Amino acid sequence: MRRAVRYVRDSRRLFGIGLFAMLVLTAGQLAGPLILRSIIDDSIPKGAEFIGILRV
Amino acid sequence: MKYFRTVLEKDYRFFAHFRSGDIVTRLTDDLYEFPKLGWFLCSGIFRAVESISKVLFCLAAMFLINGRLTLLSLIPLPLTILVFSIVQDRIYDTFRRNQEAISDINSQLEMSFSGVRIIKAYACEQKYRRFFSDALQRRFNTEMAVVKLGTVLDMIYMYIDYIAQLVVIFAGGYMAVRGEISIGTFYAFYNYLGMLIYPILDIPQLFVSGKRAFEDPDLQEKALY
Repeated sequence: MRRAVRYVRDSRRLFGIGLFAMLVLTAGQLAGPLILRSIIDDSIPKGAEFIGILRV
Repeated sequence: MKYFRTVLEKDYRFFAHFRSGDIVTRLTDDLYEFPKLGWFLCSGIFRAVESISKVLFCLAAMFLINGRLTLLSLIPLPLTILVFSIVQDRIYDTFRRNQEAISDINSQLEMSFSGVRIIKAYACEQKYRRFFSDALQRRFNTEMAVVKLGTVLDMIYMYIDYIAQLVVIFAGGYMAVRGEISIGTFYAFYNYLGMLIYPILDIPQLFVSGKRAFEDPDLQEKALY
């Protein structure tokens, strides 16, 4: 890992932005199943219409 | 550029010791594409970060949803680690042999074309054709070994993935039927498992890729300094 850091040292700003974007993207992907869970467990049994589901 | 400049500054002993084909391979093929250094320093590192963060986030979310089902879905994990520990040296050796075969081909080509007048003058065409044919055969064998190993590993990992999915479907389905978890939770869990499996399988492979990517700079630095 120390070797890799040495090689990317010149582009560390871009590298940092890339890493941050990657973490945000990954965290964002995790929201999908939780939203679907909420739709299946809460909205659908309550008979929510399309707009109601969109609010979830 | 730094490597090229360093090569130019070397004296005749360096060029007597290292074949031109080896040097060309070190400066071209070793530096780009999967799983070479250029790939590893960009896609490789980002993929490792993505995989590790995905595994951690997914596990946290899964444990928050249901700890028991999370532990059950991780049953195949030791199997992955076992497969990886058995084959990692073999993967490394196979790719190393393939790299040496590529280097041999480059050396043969460089030697044949730069010395073509001598080959023609001494009527050695037949001999050089045989040399090249042997080098090509070695390359073919090593490339085939790489493809075979990759295919077998992909298949093993695919079945490990299926086992994990089956565990979640049976255990999660049973828990959902008994009312221990909701249908939405079961569905979310199944989705998280789908997101988790490939990063888990990817992390060991990235360690091997990193080892392979840095093997070539090791050779370069050994050659150049």
